[in-house]
Amino acid sequence: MRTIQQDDRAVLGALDREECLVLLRWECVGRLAAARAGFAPVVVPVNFVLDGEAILFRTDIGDTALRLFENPASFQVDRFDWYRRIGWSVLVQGTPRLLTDGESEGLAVDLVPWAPGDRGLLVRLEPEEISGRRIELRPGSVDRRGYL
Amino acid sequence: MDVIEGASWVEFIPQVGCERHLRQEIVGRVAMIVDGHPEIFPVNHALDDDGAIVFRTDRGTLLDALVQNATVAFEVDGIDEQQHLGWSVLVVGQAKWVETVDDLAALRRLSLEPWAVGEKANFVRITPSKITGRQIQVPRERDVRSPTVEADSHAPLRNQPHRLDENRTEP
Repeated sequence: MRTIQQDDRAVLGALDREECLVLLRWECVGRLAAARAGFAPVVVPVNFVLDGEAILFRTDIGDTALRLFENPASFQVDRFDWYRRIGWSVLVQGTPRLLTDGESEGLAVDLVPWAPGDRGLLVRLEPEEISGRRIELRPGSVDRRGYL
Repeated sequence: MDVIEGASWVEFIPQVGCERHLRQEIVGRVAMIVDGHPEIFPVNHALDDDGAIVFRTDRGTLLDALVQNATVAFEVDGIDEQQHLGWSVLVVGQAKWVETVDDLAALRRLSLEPWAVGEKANFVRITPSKITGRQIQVPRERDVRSPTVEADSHAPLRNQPHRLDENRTEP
């Protein structure tokens, strides 16, 4: 970890919804965090595609994540460039829903799961909220959230 | 380098491998429940002598949430293009806002400098209660960076110039 000058610290700027969606479209892997009452969230990386504003990914019965369906979940992507010292993070919040066979059939989704197994189930996370932060190198105000 | 044909497979990463990933990665993600929803915050982190995960933060959402619900998850993941695999390590543990002077002095020696704006005067330590890791070996004919696209077998992995460079080797 490199020491950087105080006046060279990054400024954290909020990204608007459109910017978040553009960034989401470029990415192919994100992290799904599923809530579980009284426990720590479960976090698993999944590859995904964006369908409109919704996150689509494949899964399998038996996945930890699947057991947590119909509960609030978050989907997060980020990217950091340590040389240019910029980065961003986007968080999509919603409740994942398993698509029915009928719904899945109508979708031309080019989504090959990495993990083995059938993974025939398609999951849709319709965003209730999309938020994002951009981090750049200039002095300024303190972000109230926990980013970096 | 082995050429892997056919289906992908999952391997569990042993504890020593999980810890190595946790030490090598610069950025991890803290996940916790905030108002009933899981939230994920990227943080730069270090491991202390006891193998606990340490990060710095300002007063704000993350610290407020920690005080109310200290059970958190911490995740690191990555793609190894050489080995053609994706991996992730998930830590579940109790997060504690470090307040005692002796503890703080020890943590300051970790040279954990905040990367983002703010003084980040608060140190948080996550004591792991469970560490699990898994890796997914992806066949050569698939491009690990773009798994939805069929890549030619043995073809060089495409660079994607529209993305920020993902360079995990810290100078």
